[in-house]
Amino acid sequence: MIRTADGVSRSIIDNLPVTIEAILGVAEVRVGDLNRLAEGDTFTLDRLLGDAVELRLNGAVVAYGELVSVGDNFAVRIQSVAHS
Amino acid sequence: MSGAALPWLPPPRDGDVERAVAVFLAPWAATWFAAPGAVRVKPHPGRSDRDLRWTGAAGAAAGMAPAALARLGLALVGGEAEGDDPADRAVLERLAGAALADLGARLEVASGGAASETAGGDLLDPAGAPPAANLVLRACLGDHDWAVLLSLGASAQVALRKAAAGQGRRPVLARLAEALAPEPVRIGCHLGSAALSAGELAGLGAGDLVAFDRFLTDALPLVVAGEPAASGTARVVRDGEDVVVRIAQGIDFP
Repeated sequence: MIRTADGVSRSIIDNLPVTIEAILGVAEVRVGDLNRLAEGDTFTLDRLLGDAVELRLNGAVVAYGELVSVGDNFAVRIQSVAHS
Repeated sequence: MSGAALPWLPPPRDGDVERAVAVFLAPWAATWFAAPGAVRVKPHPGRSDRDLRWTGAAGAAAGMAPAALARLGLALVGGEAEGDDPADRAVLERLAGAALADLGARLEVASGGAASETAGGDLLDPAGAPPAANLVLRACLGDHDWAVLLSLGASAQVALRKAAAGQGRRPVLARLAEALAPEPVRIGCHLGSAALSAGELAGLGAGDLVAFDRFLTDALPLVVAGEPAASGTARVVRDGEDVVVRIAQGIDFP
């Protein structure tokens, strides 16, 4: 059994179920313009700049990656992950 | 803990209100007199005399004995004797009435509207004398032989004291929404969630794929400053080579 530096069993942590959320950053707008957003308004993502999708665990960004699709679902190709 | 009740307002220190009234009167005196002399203010033992002619309102009024009006008028024109001519006396009293009305108008502004009930400088009927509970001060200028009484309620006293302390002008408050309007904020879309174990998360590396539970055709909840918005959705669509986020429903603000 592997133990971490603070003595917690590594296997217990590894088996912990977690849920990560994916947030696609769209644009920066003014607060005053938020209520002017209307159906049909569009924002083009600049793929060349690598608009990163943030993967968040309990609100903290633990990874980011590129927006792709897997079948009919959104997916993210990981570019970087937080160190353990 | 002491059983003594705290006063609602700290009582003014001796002379505070008198000094504030002197500060308030100085510009009025400078407007109406060529050489007004020093402003002298002291408590008036007669309280709010009902036989005076008052200008202003119950909370902040200026009053003067009818007989003193002609003397005030004479001081205004720099004359040496009142004279017995009724026409001259009427002119002097009319001039003094205008100065007194101006004083009432200034009281209205300085006391935050406490004297607003009788605009236009009308002299109050003696029956409309200020409340007896008001603080009454007697003010005069230099060696003049007239005096004006100022009857001040609590609000007017506080307003004049604050004005004398340089705190009389309060900033105009903007609407919070207007102040926030220029602030930049990031908006985004919630692409969904994925369940995995901490071990799997720790084992992720560059190039790995993680699929989420929302479909490509779903309207995605909007995220504002990293937090889910209460309303508003968008769809991610392809437009040729571009990926476009199209608003499906705007954000409703209460």
